[in-house]
Amino acid sequence: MLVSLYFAFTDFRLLTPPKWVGLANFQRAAADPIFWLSVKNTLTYIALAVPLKLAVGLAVAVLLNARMRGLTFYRSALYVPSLLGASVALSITWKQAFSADGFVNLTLGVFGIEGPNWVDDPRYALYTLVLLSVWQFGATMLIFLAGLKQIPQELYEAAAIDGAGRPARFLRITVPLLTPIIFFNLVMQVIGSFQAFSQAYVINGPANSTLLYSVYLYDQGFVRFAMGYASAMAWLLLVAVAVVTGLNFFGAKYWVHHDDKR
Amino acid sequence: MTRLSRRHLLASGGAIAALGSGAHGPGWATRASAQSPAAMKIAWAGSAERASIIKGALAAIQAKMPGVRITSETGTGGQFGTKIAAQLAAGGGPDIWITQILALADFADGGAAQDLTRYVPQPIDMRDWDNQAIVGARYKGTQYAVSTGSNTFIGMYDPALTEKAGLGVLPPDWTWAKLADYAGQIAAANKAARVFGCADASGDLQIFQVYTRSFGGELFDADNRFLPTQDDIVAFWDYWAKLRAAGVCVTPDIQTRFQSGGDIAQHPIVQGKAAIDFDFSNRFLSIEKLANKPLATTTLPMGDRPGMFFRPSLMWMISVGADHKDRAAEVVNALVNDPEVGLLLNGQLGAPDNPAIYEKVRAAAGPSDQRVYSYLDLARAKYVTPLEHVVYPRGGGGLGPAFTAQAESYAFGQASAQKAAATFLGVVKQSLGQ
Repeated sequence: MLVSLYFAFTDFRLLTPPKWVGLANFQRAAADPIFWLSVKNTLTYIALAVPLKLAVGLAVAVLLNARMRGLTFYRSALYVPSLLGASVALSITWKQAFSADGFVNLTLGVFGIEGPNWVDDPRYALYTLVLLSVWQFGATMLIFLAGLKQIPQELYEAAAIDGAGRPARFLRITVPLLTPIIFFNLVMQVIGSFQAFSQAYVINGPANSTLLYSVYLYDQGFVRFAMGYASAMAWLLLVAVAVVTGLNFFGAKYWVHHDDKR
Repeated sequence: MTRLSRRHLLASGGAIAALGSGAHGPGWATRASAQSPAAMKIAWAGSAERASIIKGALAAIQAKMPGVRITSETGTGGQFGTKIAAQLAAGGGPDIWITQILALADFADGGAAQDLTRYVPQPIDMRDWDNQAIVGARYKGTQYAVSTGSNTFIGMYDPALTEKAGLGVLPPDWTWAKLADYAGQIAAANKAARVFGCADASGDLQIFQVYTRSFGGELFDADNRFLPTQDDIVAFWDYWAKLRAAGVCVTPDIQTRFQSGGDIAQHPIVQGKAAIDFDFSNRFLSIEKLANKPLATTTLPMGDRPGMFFRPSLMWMISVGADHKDRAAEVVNALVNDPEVGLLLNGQLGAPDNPAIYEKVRAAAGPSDQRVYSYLDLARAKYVTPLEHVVYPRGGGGLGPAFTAQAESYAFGQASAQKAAATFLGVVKQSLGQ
């Protein structure tokens, strides 16, 4: 890491010794429109993917927390996409599924809906990445499920006796008591989303529409051999992740419920 | 110490023998230096078929060069240059490797590639070669590489669709205006089948280079400065925008499927979406096979003059860190100048630059390959203009994707042509430090 910090202040083209350039790489980033486009894409991706993934993970966890037949099977089946991870094979499959004549549009066609050209249109390409991320909700779901198991049943029983319906019990008991779990998932998902790479690299939407920060960083370092600039970008990413995580922790005291505060 | 002295002695003897015979070409096999032991690694990128063919050629070379032991390493296209660069930067890497035009400057300027000047014309003999193949492997005037074989651009079309439009054969002396005209007629005649007249080449920097050259311009000057202006780029993009607006060339979402990954299976002509498409001559047969129908060849259109040029398809480079540079140079010479090796390679790495081998390979080629060779002969005779600075400057490797992305921004209506061109020129400035 220290070496990469040094490289961040150099012009390092991989095959030639690094040359000290001071803040030039950071100034270059500030003036680089593609850099800012990758920042915008990444923030959009995080803003959409993280809340959706948390919401879906929580909703499915609540459903699976109920007593029903085949629960073990459902839990395992819904966790499978997360096991696949952000693999290249999965990204290729996703790209195929969302192509003009792919599985998604064929399915929509059954209902008489003509779907757009998802991955080949810059208006939609980033959303396919978001969907791919949301589809892999299994890990967050399992953590939520573990959290739900920790909530004492007597709280629900007392609320029910007091006349609280299901929505009220969910909003007044489940959500507040799950906030530490929500917070944990939020922090982990935000950090993970900042680092999203392989799916964006493979899907590679037109007009830089899926150019996430990590992909641009890779492009600079390993395609253009601009290792100095790539190192500077890596450190900017580290700082950004640290700042956002810090803000999350700062904001947590306003909405995260801890047992020791009761 | 003894070994080194012996090697030098043998090498000297070999050089004298070569001078005495007055031979050039594959004289390496008979030279005394061929006896000295040398282990080396050769790396290239490409398919399993290519690997099998090159390994066969290397086996033949080893049989002729006692003492030379060659191991090989293969990789996939996109990441291969990165992999080799990382290995070389770490002090390892192959002794000989294949590079693309876009990466040559990085290896040369980065000090990883051996200056081959002292190996030319012995053992690497290019005296009978077309000058374009020789200068095409030079960077800043220095011979850092050797062409594996040459290619040029090619226009491909579906003759059944042009027949339907009453056009028949597309003439090789056509212009960009004629392309628009013919593609318009084809699109009109095949509207019911939802086939467009031509592909959209607005995102292809190399076709932009051909376009620019066809009107007297160049992409780079001798100092590696990027020459086209914002207006030049806008003019090129507007040419294609008019074709898109008229429904003559394919829509951006169709074109981007090919552009996003460079997979020839996604070529609009392969997908049955366009009657006319463009690529490089060495890929024509593969594209035709994927299209699963007979395709015909023509040139890329002209402006005031032909804009096409011949260039090395790929290039052999020798590492500055190679233990046996002299022997490596002999191996490279064998790869490009030995008739037996040339026949084994069979144009896999481009049309042979050695004229004698070209004729042998051509004579042995089947009817399909003959069409490509006929096209190359035609192009070389009338439809190419010499290009001195074939190799992109250092940092130029990312210009192609950047050009594509900005052309797409304009094509999808996300940016004006002026803004997209300005953004691209910003990337040029940043990448090339200009």
